[in-house]
Amino acid sequence: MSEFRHAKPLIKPRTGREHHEEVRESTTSDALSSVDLETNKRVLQGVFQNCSDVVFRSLVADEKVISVVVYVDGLVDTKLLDEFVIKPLLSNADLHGTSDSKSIGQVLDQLISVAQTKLFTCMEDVEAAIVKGSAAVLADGRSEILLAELPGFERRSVEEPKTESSIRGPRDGFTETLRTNTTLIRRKIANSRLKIESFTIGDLTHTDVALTYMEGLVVNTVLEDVRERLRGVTLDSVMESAYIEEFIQDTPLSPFPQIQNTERADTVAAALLEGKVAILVDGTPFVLILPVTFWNGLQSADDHYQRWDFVITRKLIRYIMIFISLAFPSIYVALTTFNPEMVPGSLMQSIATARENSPFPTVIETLVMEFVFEGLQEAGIRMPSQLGGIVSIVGALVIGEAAVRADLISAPIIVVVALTGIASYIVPRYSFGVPFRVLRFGLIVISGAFGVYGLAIGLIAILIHLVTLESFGVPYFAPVAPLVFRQLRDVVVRTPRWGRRSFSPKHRR
Amino acid sequence: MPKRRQVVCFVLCICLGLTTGCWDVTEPNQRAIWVGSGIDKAGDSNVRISAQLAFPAGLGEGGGGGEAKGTKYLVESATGSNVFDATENLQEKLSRRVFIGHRDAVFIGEGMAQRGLKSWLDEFGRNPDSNVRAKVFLVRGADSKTFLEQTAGLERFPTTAAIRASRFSGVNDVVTSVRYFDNNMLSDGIRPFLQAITINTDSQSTNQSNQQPPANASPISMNSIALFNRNAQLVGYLQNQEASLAMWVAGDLIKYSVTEYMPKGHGTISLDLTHVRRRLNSVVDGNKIAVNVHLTGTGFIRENNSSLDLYSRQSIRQVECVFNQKIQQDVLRMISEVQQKYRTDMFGFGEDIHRRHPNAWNVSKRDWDEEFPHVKVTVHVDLRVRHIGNKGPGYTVPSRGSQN
Repeated sequence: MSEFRHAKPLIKPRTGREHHEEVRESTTSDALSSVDLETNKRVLQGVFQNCSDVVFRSLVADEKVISVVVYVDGLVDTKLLDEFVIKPLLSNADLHGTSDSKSIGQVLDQLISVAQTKLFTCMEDVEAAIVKGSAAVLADGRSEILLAELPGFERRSVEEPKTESSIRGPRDGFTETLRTNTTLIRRKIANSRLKIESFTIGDLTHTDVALTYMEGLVVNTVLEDVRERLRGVTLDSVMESAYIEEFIQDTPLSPFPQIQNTERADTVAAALLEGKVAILVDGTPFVLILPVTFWNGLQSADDHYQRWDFVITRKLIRYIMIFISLAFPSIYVALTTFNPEMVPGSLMQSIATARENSPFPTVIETLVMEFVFEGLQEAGIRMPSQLGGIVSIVGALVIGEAAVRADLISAPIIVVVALTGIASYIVPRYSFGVPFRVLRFGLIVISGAFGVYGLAIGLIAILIHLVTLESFGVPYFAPVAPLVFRQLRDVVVRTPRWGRRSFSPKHRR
Repeated sequence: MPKRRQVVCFVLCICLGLTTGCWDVTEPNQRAIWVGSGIDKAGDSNVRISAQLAFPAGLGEGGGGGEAKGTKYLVESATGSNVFDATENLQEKLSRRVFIGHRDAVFIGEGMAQRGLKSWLDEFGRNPDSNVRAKVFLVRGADSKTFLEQTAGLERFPTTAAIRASRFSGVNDVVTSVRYFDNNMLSDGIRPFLQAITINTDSQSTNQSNQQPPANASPISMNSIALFNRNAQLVGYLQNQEASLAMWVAGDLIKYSVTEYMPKGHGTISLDLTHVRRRLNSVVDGNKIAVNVHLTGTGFIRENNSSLDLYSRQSIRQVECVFNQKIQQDVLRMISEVQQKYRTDMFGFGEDIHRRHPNAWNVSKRDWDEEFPHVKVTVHVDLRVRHIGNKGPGYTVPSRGSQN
């Protein structure tokens, strides 16, 4: 991994780190917790100054503070906290607090009946644990601080993913909670070989990131590469997995995504079983899958759930439509304005008739209409859902009907743009449809300037770019460009499952 | 910094392309779509090219008003010393760039064909802009311009009407192409022929008397072929059935239907032949040349107005026999007419001799036109009835039928 391009961010990230560290020094320092309860409390109070959501609950027995529980209100399930932390402490305070033989700290471990507890001595760790939803128990006569994990924050329930729906297949989609997400995967792959490694990324946000893979199936060099790249990520904050995706992908300047994102738990599980690596980020339902190829991006989960013969026809339609979404407007421009002899005679007459009164050249017309279409689309996404109907009415009536009637735009263009628009949604994964939509404009311009010749050059340039791309050491256009004939079974067609060899050695013949 | 240099180089290359100012874009509404060409003679050595140009506003429904509906095309013509020259002269009369990529057919006036086509069809295959699949027809008894100005019947353009009529005339599509004519013209052992269009004068006169053309008046019919001699000069026509049989013997027919009176059944039977083939077998004996023409075909019986019961094998044999004899006679008559009257080998007998007896052909190819009329032709016809339809007899003979 000498070539470590991704680790160098293109633009130097804006860091507020110096300021951040300054604050930290003034309040905590890397001090260890002391045996004295009061000292510890004072340190934490200093750290959480002006944090109105942090609660300090002092437990008093015999007019003496025997313990302090610190937690962030809302992050911790207070019912559980009352039941299993505070109640045992208070009820046992009488037993032990009065006698000098044992302090409450010495029996702390026996009193707290919570599944996940940790003991910290470093105040910085304590602070970090508290903001992540643990309750800290400071006890008299004990330097270690006990942290009980009692998460009780608001979380969304598991729903069907909106962006990737399928006709048949599991309906569970990821949520914003990392732990829920790992659970969803674990439930699909009940195997100890499923490994979930934990990372924390984001100097300010301390976002939990989980690196997931199947041991024994994953290619170790890829895994090591991913680990190294994740460690190389220098970010203040991680709001979405896209932050990390940008950092770790091979060629950030390419319009083609080299990392797949998905909301579907079954997609991730399937990818893991193919030996891929998934990166889960806390706070977003979008999970990264890598390495991916161009053809992965054109697959949908349904491809593996529907009957294989049906899927083959679907795939054919999809590939043709994807080509249409990329090149149809530019083919139209090149053929009608440069090589009309390539269009069938009667079709050319129809086009010529429709274009008879058009004031603009075909290229300009196409570019304008594509622009308008993309604009409508953008407006449609951002618009409050109550106003959704307006876009369709304005789009269909004003632009479709009136512009043609008024001889501002010729009718064939509307057909071309509409077909292209529909075709661009055929791509099952939204992020993989984007490059086609972007490159389409370039192709229109180049074929408007150079005709079919320009179109050919444009397409060849795209192809060259695609075959040179790599995703974590895997050629992006594989298995087509470095031709691996056996793997074409999932690209060109989808062969029936009984004809395949299994990954697991048990089923291998 | 090799990467930066690459980028600079790339940008410069793009600029090189974009800033030359050479933009050979032509919008569809800057082109005059040339649908069909007409070639006529002009003066002694010049040529007149007529162009049938699609009239854009008159087509379809979009844009144009109702008034323009009538004019679907425009015929413009210009003369020049050759086809390209005339086309350039034609361009001067037009406001749009002529576009010959969709020139689907070339029509040759009779006068032009009589003068000879040897040097006039070159442009249609050579000019890279032109449509290599263009069809070529002869306009019988008129100028091609007259034809181009006809109303088109069911079609938008007379050109389209001619192309489609030819497609359903049972002739192999290849025959009508410029290339086929060219190849035959350049070959020693076969003389070219063309499908000829006849302008129906009846429909024309009714057109003029009434303001609106009657819907049933078809302006053209495609029922004859024109024969050419070695110099690609028109020597004559074969009509209707003779034309079809001639193309059968030439091997260019793919469908043929024949109706014949059956002496046994006192009525007619129609046979629709589909697998129409011919086989030539030439025999050279000294300087005597004999050609045996073997014609085969299988077909359906489409109509039976005779009393023959086709359920019986025997009657089918009888029917086949009648058809065989009839076609044999017709073909022999037609061949001898071509041999004696037109003296031009449109059947490709020479080509067959060329293949079977190359040495003999070397001797006779120079004066094949003189030898062709003396070729002894024998004809064998072997037709098969494949299907007879759902009924046996056409009608029941009353005297016998009533007893059952």
